[in-house]
Amino acid sequence: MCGSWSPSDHPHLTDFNCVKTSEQDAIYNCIAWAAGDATRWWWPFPYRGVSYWPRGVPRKETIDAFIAAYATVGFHECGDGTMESGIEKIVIFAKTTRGILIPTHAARQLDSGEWTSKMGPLEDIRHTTADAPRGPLYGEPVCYLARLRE
Amino acid sequence: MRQTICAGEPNPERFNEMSTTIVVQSPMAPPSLAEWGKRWHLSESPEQQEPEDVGWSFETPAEVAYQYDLFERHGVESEEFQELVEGWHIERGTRSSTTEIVLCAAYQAIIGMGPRAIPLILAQMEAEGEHPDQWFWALQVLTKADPVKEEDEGNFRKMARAWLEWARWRYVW
Repeated sequence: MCGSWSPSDHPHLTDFNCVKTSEQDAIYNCIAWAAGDATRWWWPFPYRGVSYWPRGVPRKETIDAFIAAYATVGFHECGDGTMESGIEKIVIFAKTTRGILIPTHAARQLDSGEWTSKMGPLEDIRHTTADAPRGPLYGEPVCYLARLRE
Repeated sequence: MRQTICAGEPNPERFNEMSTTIVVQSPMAPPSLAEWGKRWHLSESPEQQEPEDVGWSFETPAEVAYQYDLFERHGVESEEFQELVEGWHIERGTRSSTTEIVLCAAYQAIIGMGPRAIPLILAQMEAEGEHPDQWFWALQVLTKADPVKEEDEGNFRKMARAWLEWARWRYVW
């Protein structure tokens, strides 16, 4: 297995489609990492002083709020995760909890076409397909965003 | 008369004298000590300072005996705390949701320890150095304080520094 998590949480991540690219580091998370920020923990926690969330974006655990958060760094909705030259893409994962779709994870496409994920407070990984981290913890990919690659 | 006790060597028999002032020199002092007296700077050479500058003063054996009991319990609670930390790390797994992370049963159990958890959290956070974990919500709940600047939100290193600086004169760990 390519990381230190429980295999049952991410049954589709294997040594064949996933490579660990960093050691564990709990100071940033996948939402930040997808935005290119490895210095902060992004989450719309309703109380201040706990995690970062872009100013002016609703502190709500909704897909719309996450799209709005990524819009602050130039991402906008796009159709899918197909590799496009000069375009950087993000995929947002979500799962349904008590009937509500709640964002859980985000991954960013590399210029190789592979994807990079920060696994919560654990490792960074590179995975071959956008949906590889799906499973009981993260749910499924629900939305793709794109911006011009710098 | 002044007596000095250090971490790891409190001796109740030394506490029987009335009107004895005990000066505690210990980073292991339990949290309630902070409620009993003013926190003073712990110098590397406390013996060179005035007694009032090195810890807390207690005037009666009853107070000292109570504090000694807390010293004893502090070690047990530290073990319990470490078990909860390990349990929390397992329970949160790869979650990125701060909400889910702080709602983990082990994290809630740490908050449930009440004010006794504060110095344990502070010690843990300080030991984590440049990779501080998400103790901020627990500290907010337990202390009712919020020393993190808005521009530092989410930057755990800066947040941890803000908390440790805030706590330095209020708690002992």
